[in-house]
Amino acid sequence: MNKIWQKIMIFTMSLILGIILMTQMRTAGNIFGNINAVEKSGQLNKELARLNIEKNSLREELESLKEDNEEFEETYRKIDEELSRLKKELEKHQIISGFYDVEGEGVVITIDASPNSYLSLASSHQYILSLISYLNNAGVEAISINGQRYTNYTEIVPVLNHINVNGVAMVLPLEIKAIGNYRTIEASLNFVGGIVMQLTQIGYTVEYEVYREPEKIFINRYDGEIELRYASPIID
Amino acid sequence: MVVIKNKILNIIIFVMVFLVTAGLVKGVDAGIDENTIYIIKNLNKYEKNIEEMRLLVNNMQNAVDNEKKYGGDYRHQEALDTIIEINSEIERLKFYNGFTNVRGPGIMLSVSDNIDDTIDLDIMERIVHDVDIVVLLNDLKAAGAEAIEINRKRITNISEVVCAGPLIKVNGEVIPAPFLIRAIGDIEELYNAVTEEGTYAYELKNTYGMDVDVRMSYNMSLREYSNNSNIEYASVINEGVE
Repeated sequence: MNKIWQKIMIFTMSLILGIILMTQMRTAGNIFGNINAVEKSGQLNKELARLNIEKNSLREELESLKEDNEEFEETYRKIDEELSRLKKELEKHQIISGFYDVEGEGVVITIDASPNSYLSLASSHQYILSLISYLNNAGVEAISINGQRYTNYTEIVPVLNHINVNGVAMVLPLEIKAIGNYRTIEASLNFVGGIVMQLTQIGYTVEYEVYREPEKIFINRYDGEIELRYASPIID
Repeated sequence: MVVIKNKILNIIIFVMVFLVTAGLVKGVDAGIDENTIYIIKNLNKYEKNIEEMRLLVNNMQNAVDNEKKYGGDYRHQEALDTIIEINSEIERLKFYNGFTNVRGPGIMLSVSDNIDDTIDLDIMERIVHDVDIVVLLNDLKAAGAEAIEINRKRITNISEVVCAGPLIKVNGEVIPAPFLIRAIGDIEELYNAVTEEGTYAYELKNTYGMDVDVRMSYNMSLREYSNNSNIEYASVINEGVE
C-alpha cells in the first residue's frame, strides 16, 4: 500500500511540475512574441512620437481656425447689426410708401353731417387736406381715408359734390384712420381754432375713436401703381 | 532486487525533480533580466499613451472639422447678398417716398402776401395761410407732380404744412413768405394747374391780390426729405406686393 501511495505522490508531483514548467515557458514566449522587446519598445516609441507630431500640428490648425472663426464671428456680428439696421430702415420706408398693410395704435376720425345740411364735401376739401396736414404735424405714420391709403402721390380732388381720393369717389361719412401717438393726434387737432373746431363751425360732426395698444388700427395698402416719368434720382 | 530497483527509481525521481526545478528557475530567468522587465513595463505604458494620444488626435480632428464647417465663406456671402438686396429695395422706396434728391422738368411757383393797402380786403384775406399752401400742393399733385418742395423743404405724404404764427411750419422747421414751391412733372399740366381760370392759384392772384408768379424750368433739382422720422407706432403686417 505504502508503495502505491509513494508512486501516486511522485506521479502527481511530476505532473504539477511539468504543468508549471510549460506555463512558465509559454508566458515568457508570449511576452516577447516573435519580436525582441527592445525592438518593440523602439517601434512604440516611434509611433508615440509620430502621434505627438500629428497632435501638435492638429492643435496648431485648430488654433488658427479658431482665430479665423473669431474674426469671422466679429464680421458676422457687424453684418448682423447692419442687417437689423437695414431691416428697420426697410420697414420704415415700406410703411411710409403705403405699399404695405400696416397696423398700430392711433385714432379713427369720423366726419359726417346731418343729411339735411347743404354741406358739399367738394367745397370743403381743403379742410380734409388741412386735417391731414395737422395729422402729419402730430407725427402720424399712416393715414387712410375711407380705405384709401394716403401716399406721397395721393391727391384729394373735388368733383361735383364729392371728393376723389386716389381717383376713388367718396361721400360722407368720411372715416379717416391715422396710426400714431393718440395723445399727440388729439392735441394737434383739438386746439381752439384748430381743424376740428373749424369743421364743426361749418356744420360737420367730428368723432374720434382712440385705439391704444393692444387695440390696433388696420390700414390697408395702396393698391394702384405709381410710375414716375419726369423725376429721376440724383445719384451722388 | 526489489530494494535495488526501488533505490534506482528513487534516484531517477530525484534527478527528474532536480531537472524540473532547475528548468523552472532557468525558465523564470529566461531572458528576463531587470532591463527587460523595465522595458515590458514601459511597453504597457507606451501602449496606453498611444491609445490616449489616438483618442486626442481623433477629437482634435473632429474639432478641426467642426470649425471648418462653422467658418466658411458662404455664410458671409449670403449675408452680403441679403444686404445688397435690402439696400436696393430701400433705395427704390426712398425714391418713391421723397427721400432721394431728384431732378427733372417742372414749374416754380412763388406766392406771397398781398401788400397793397389800397385794395379793400380784410387783412386775414391778404396773407398766405397754411391752408392756401396745402391746397396749392394738392393741386400740383392732382396735376401729376412727382416731386414737390417748398422753400427747399421736400413735401412728402408725412410732411405737415401748418400755421406757426406769421410763419408756416414744414417738416419740423418754420419757413417765411415768400413761398417758393417747385414741382417736377409735366410742365404744361403743372403750369395749367396754377394759372388757368378757376384754379386756386388764379383765385389767390386775381381775387385776393396775392403775389403769385409761375415759371417753367426744364431742369430742376429737388432736395430729399431729410427729417429723421422714426416709425414707432406702425408695423407692416404682411408682405404685400407693390
